[in-house]
Amino acid sequence: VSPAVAAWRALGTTAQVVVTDDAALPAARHAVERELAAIDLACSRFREDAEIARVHAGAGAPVPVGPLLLQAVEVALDAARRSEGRVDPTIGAAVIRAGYDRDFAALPPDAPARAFVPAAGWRTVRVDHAAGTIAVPAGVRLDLGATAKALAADRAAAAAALAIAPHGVLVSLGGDVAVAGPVPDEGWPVGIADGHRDREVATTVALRGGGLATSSTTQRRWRRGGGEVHHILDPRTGAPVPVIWRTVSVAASSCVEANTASTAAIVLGATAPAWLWRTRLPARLVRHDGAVVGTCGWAPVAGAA
Amino acid sequence: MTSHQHLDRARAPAAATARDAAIRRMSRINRLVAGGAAVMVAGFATLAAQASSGGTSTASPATTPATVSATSSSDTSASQASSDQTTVPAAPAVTYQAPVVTSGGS
Repeated sequence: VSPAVAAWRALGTTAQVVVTDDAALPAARHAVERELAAIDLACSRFREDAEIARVHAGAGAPVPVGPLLLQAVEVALDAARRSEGRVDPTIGAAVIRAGYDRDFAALPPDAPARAFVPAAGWRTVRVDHAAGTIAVPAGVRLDLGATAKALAADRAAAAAALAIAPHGVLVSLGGDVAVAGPVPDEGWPVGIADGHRDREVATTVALRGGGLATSSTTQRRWRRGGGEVHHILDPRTGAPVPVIWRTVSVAASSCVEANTASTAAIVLGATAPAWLWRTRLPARLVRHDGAVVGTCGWAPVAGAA
Repeated sequence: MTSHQHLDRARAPAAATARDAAIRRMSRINRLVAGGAAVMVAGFATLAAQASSGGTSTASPATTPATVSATSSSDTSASQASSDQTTVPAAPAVTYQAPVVTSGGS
């Protein structure tokens, strides 16, 4: 691959679009930017003008929404169902309570400790697909963070591939990766960082379709009450999950599926490898001590210690 | 703003709707909702059964053991646990090309 790459800040992270034809890069980037802007306006919990803010203001009443937010919430609820609540979009109030109450870059150096609160539970969300409405109880805050970013990667890759056909494209949003269109002969080379040394590549794999996501307990950490917390909370308690794994990378047929599985695996902890085997998803898990576990054909590789 | 105005705003023009439909088809999200869910939920059901029968919840299936190592070296593309190619991809093979992006957690 001799790729052409564009990178910029979006959705609170780094967006990257990669194509194999230089001439296709501007059109691919334009398509990706358009999708990311639409997702941000629909789903961001940091924007007062976001469509999701109107759903919260509905305080239990059905609120008409556009097709994109409807899809994002349906995808988030499907992830919750598939993960049996380990990935729960009603975690929003718990995330705020834990101190992640503004854009990550704007968080203060420390904040007073407050008791953690559990998620309200994804079954409290009511979606009427035919009517195009969403209702959440008063006080419940949706945090679509994980699944919406993965959905954005999937949609942006698809949109870009449509825009630059017959060329293929890779889109990465902070490491949530989706590919669409024709794949280079050697596949798309994607580095996997294990979280031990920030963003240092431990191994590189060739991605030939779908998506790849890595969830990490070493990224997006902040201080609270003098101690450090990370952003992956257990919906049952609202507290950061114990660090059994520092990263989990999953390859799946879409970035949404990969992200759902990688996040659920972090929350599951010790039982994650068994669950990933049962779900038949190739994954690479890096334990807190650096040992690497592979599932479904994804074996450990050199340099992961 | 009335609910009717919200509905009007939510109603996308035909061209945008067609584009959205094309993106959904290509990104395969709709297929996943139908296909992937059963496999993941079945995985949890198995975990629960293991727990209730006193099985070892962290163990991998005997026929396809997970391995723990920090020093292994070779290609990973050989095995593929699934026969369902519509929802489960092959494990990505190790490559020695320079990565174009890095997936390191977010």
